[in-house]
Amino acid sequence: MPESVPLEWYLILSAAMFAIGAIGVMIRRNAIVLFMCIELMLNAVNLTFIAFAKYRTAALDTGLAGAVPDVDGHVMSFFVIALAAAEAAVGLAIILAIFRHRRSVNVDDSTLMRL
Amino acid sequence: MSLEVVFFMLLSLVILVASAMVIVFRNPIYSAISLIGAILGLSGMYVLLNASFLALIQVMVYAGAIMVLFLFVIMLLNLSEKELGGGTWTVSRLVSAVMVLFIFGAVAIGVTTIGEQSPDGVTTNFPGLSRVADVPGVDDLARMTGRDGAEVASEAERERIRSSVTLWDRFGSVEAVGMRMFTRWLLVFEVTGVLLLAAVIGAVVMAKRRL
Repeated sequence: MPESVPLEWYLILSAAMFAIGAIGVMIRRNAIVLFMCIELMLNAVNLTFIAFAKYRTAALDTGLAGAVPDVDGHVMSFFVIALAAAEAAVGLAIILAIFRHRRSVNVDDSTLMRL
Repeated sequence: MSLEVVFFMLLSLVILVASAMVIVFRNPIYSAISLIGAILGLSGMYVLLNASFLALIQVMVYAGAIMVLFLFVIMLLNLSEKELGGGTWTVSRLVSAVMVLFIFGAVAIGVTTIGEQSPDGVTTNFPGLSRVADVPGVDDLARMTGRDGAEVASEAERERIRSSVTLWDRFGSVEAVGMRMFTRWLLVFEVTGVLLLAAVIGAVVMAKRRL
């Protein structure tokens, strides 16, 4: 058992979260739950960004003055969160519009564009 | 076992159980509340990763704004038991779920087993990232500056502590993230503002009864 958490553990946790989200998209038919699974996958990616940001800064910590932390991963996570907010707003508006037309949020009922 | 490892274990347990509950519950209300649990667990994980600003944003924007939007829509739709729909397992769904598990297994194996051994016995694909970089020793500094070893030693120790403290104080703080976001990534930040504006207009247009 290592003293500190290695980077790989964070990556595996993130991959597990992403897999749970992807399985949810595969097996669930409720459009709202599908959106929640997409949020789950976006969060998993954010965890990877932030874990890499910390371990990159640890690699930059040379012990000399002038070492600057690398927070690009945090900035990217911030943009992903903003994107998730925009996606949730538009997506839920689309779900509401479809529900008004068809009285259903089951994605299998919306087959207008199926070949 | 250090406290960091204990907290990692606890938080990952919370996150994985809550994530699984999101896709297991039939009622979307329960799914949404499990997702809030997963998001709060992730926020704790960000604290563990010295990302204090992102931990705050995670709670405020995700748990506070996005999930309220989800709960609002779920309660607005007010789905009946019949409309919730059963989770019927067709062959294609089963196969695709198993495929996702295979991909996860491939990623987990790839991340842990291929690569080189680091000094503390952990195999890694990221040799530069799994440990702290080599700190120049006192002898190196004494040779470089041509001064007395003991004098350099106390000075180097002070300097090391000072720079390390400022480095990890600044990492993940609002100041450090803001400085980076408003200099190097300023254009991306502005484009994100346009994206949010487009999303607001799109949501209003979508939700209108007739244009």
